[in-house]
Amino acid sequence: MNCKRTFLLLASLTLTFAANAAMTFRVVSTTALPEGVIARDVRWASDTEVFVGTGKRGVVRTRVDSTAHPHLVVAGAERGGGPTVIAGRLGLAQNHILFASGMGMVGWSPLAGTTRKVEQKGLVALMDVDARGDTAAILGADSGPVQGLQREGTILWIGSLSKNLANLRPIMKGRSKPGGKDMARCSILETGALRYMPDGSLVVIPGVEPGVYRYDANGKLMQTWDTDPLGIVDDCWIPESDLLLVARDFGERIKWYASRVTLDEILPTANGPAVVLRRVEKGVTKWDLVTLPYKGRSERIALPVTMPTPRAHVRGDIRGNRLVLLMWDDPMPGQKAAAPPKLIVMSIDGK
Amino acid sequence: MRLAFLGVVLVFAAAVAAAPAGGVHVVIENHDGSHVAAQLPLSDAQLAAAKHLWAWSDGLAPRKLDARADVLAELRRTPSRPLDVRVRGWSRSEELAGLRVIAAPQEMWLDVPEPLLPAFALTKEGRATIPVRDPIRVRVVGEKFGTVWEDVAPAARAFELLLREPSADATVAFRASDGALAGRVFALAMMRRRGEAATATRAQFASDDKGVVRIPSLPESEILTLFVTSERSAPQTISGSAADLSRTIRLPAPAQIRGRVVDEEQRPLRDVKVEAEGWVSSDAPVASRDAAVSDDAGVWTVRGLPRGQVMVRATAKGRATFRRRVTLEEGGSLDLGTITMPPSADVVLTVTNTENEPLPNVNVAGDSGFRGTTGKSGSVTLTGLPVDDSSSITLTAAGFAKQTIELALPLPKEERVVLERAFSVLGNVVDDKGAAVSDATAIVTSGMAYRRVDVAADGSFSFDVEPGKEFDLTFESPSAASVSRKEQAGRIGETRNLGTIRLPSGLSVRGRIVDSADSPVAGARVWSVRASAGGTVVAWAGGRVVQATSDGDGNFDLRGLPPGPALLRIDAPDYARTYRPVVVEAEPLDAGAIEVVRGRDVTVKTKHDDARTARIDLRGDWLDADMLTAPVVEGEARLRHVPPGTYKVTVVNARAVVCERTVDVRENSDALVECAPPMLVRGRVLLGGAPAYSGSLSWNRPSETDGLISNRVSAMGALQQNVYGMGSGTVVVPLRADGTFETNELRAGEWQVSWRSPESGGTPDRTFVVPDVADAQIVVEFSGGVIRGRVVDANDRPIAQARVREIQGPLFAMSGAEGSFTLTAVAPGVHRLQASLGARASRVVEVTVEPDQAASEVRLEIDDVERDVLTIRVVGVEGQPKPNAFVFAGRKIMTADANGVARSSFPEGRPGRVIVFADNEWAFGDVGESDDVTLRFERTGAMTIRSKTITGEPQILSARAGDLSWMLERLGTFLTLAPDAPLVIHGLPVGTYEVRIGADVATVAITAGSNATVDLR
Repeated sequence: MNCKRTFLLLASLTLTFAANAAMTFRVVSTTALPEGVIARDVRWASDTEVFVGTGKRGVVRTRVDSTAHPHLVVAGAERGGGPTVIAGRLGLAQNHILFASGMGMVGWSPLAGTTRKVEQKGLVALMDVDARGDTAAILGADSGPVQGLQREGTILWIGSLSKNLANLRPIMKGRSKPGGKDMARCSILETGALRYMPDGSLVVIPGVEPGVYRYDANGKLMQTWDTDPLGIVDDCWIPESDLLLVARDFGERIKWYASRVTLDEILPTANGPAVVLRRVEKGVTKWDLVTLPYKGRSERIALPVTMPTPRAHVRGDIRGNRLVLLMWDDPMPGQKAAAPPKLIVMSIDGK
Repeated sequence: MRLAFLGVVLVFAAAVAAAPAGGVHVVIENHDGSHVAAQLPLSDAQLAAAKHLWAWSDGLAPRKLDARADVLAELRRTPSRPLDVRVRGWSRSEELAGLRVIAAPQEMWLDVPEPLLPAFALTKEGRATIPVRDPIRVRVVGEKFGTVWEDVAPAARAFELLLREPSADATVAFRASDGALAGRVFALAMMRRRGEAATATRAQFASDDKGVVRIPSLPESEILTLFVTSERSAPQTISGSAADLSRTIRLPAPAQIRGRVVDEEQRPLRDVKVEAEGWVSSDAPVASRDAAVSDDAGVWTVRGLPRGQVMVRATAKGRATFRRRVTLEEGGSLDLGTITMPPSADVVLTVTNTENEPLPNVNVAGDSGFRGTTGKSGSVTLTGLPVDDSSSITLTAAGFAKQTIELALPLPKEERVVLERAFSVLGNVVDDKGAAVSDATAIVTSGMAYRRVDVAADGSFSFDVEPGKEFDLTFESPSAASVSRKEQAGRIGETRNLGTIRLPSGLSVRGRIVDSADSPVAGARVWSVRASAGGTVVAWAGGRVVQATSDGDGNFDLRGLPPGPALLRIDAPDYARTYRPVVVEAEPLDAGAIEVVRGRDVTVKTKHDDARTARIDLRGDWLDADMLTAPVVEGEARLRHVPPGTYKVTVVNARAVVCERTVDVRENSDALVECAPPMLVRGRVLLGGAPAYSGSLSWNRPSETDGLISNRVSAMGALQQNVYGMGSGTVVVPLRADGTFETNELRAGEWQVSWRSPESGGTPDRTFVVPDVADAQIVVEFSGGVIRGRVVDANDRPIAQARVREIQGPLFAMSGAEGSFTLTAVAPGVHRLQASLGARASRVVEVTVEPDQAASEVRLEIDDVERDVLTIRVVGVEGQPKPNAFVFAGRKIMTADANGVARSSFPEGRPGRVIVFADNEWAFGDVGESDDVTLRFERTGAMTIRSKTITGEPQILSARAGDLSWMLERLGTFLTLAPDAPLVIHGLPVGTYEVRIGADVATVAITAGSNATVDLR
């Protein structure tokens, strides 16, 4: 029991600067989660703690530097929760934790109290979720009467968690008809993301159609950015046979990712979104951070972390001037991960 | 050895032959798990050994009683009613001599070995009167005839059994894996009726001291699955007919898990209970559980385990529960090493209702393995909770909403939980004549949640639904049409009585089942899969069928069908499956006489050592409902009663199809299918005429059948998966560096094959026929062009990791170390390619590909030159810059900067027009040939849309701008028209617009400064 729950402090104090960049990152600590733990998303819970989405185990709260006593916040399918309680993506609201899985289920649970009831809603496809205040934002596609999809094709909704998302309203409708067909078809590629910014605006990268969109809290479009300069996959131009292969064959999926630049995360900085782009070079996964400031020019900065496997991904969160990245290796089926998931805390200097 | 199934736990049993005692028959189940027939009164020794007993008499139905109960008084206290059992299929009363009807409550069949169950002789009219109280199961055994196990409907007053011959005894001699005597063997008999998805446990048997199990009078063509355990072997399932099973079978060697448990100071812990549980096979709904207790040194060993995944749990008073999932090999030994069990905390949990009244009988389950129930005070002490982690506790109680709580650290000594009353739904289901329907099911769907609730024998139902959520209800019965209704969300504590749900009889098909001599065939099951949104596989696997059984005259009346085409499947015992497509209409359809034939036997021989099951696909669509199956026993399987015709025969191992043949079954002779030995297929791959350099081939057999995976979780958390449909699976064959390959996983026949590049992508599927030879040498050639090229910089230096993509097309590659890339299986025609690296890109290069011609070579040069950039300058009416304007251009939506300028590249070709939105006004403009366009806002007008009847989202179309309503939505404005809420849209450029809602269309002209009104219906 103890060994299962003991986290290992791996390394610390790596100093790296991005060349000619106004924003620099300094690794403060790197902490490994226990071997065998699946971790897929992270949110700061306090100055010293984070929430980690651990798949079928649920959501845990743990310190980032000394993680011997993680607290279970939401029991996942393997911890007595319902069979669909799987925490792949996280969002942190004022009074709730929001979680979702690529299987299309989004769930939420109050943060306070000993009796935390888990609510869930099912969608046809789910790309990402986030939350701010009492509002949850969901990027995905829902079922309907037209070829199994909604006729109007909403791909982005917001709703109130205190009202159990009964008031979900559409914010963005997809270009493909019917019903956000591209979102339903290509969400498995996980090419999109969304994130609330510190100023309350919501930044969305659909991933199945071009563009970065910034909406205000009421769902009015405020600003856009072009995805072309990012070089990421921003469409659903993939033949059905390839999509099926990527969906059913994990090896093909890894190759597909390894040969493209893809979006791993949108980080919320005070000056605007910063997107984390993933690439694989000679079997090593590397990440670039590209800033998309509300005003001014964009910058590209190589993040001072790599993983010696072509299967690694990161998710992250920013609190003040500290960035926490959750980095993991997606092991081949039946094999062990190259390394256990890591929580990497960096200080951010500069603008 | 303990077996957990269907909520019942059985203990290894040693059965002793029954010996009726006076008027009351008694079978004792002892604490050691053995069963023995006894006479009343029981001796002190018998009472001491007895756990409980079953008692019955010729006129009083069996009851499970405490061993010290006043048996006769208890039996008399609960009256029985007579069930008239009649057998058919005999011609002379002498044939009935020695036949016995074994009849017992269904619970008793799972509690007591079949030879000890109540048995009744038949009269010379072939009848027996049996006292019943609970739902019962019956079977007839005798020298010449036999039947399978049949469940009698709860309210039935009479029941008919069709005697079947020939029938034979299955006599199975079990041996341990080393060939020695297996000792006492315990066997659960399970069956799956033809055409049904689920395997059900029917009866239990125990061996003699030499490990021989005898199951008498099995109809010869029936396949039985035995779940077998013994103290010297691992549990295993074996399947076959009576003839298949009558042999010596070696049971697999048991695996074991060992370890040592210590406290937090590394001191050994004794008396720790360690349990391990796992599913034995995918075709048996039975999990096996074994246990051990740690000794003084803290050492324990759990033995007798099956191979595969098992859950291990260690529990001790005052210690946190340990749980781990491990995988075992047959006969293997796994050492879990030293396991530290830290002290646990006990938490007293008190459960009350919202009126603060204590709630007894609340089931409490923790994720650490704790199971308990609240007492009268509403309290239960949770034990075994870890002190270093929070615990998840789930509470369930009838009439209350299920609740899961987290006990966070530090754990409290006491915790109170208030359970809210559930929203309860109740009612009763009757047929169109008002009679209770006892076999109805309520399907409750709320969002993604789905569950089935069986109604009670009297047709009543009661179940809890989560308050606050709308839900859909569907009631259906195999003998009636379904009824669906949408229910509004309920309130906490609400009880909603739906009253009487009347299931209409639906449309019906009548007919008569006859044999080739036009004699009636009784007992034939006529059935059809219900239409389901989830597809045929899902409906069939969930038992969603309508069905009827032919009576003694062969007549059937199948009800509950919807109008339209339906496929009837007819399964008569000892006859071949027959199909009858019908078109059901408003009037009852008379299908007339449907002839069933005996069919022929098909013997399948295979040399695949791991072959498990032979299958004949009667309709050729890979649907499990239409597969005849038989187990492969010593390289041979016999499929009985196969109708004449030509069919696909497959043999599967645990993973995939290993043999696929075609068989032509004729009316007058049995058939033999011999699988070819595993064949070697080798060859090479050509892409557009050139060898493939590496990658892999992906081989698939086409299948139109949907697939379904259903999961079952054991009490301790082990997972069992059942896969339905899914066709033939995929075989992936890696290529060598020279493009050659070799495999023994393919079979002769037609495949869909594609080549997958080692990087990403590949070719589309093509059809390929693998020849039926032992050593096939083939060339797999993919037509279509190949584009090869290099990505370089302005100095011709190679650029690696550049993205090469087709403009508005699917082609994609990444450049390699030398900047090279290859695109394969390219369709003939013109393709526009561009390379990019970060923000830099090459020109767009057009490449023309001719069919099967030599590879096209292309050079893509990435430089710092901006190309295909379109600049839009947005200015107002007065010519002033419009900052932050949104510019819709092609697939992009740009934002103008502080100077009103939006710039972006359009390698796929510049858009012909741009649409701009700023300050609640629109402007439309043409781009033309220029790469720097100024778009000036002009005076605009407004539009008001009204309707007295229509509610909906109007579409606003402009010949100059396209769908403005979509653009408004993308900007965050969603238009909704309602009778009392007209829509006003400002800022529209002068011109003509079309407004649409559904079939209502109106055209309106907008002029500057005006507000034009559009009146829809």
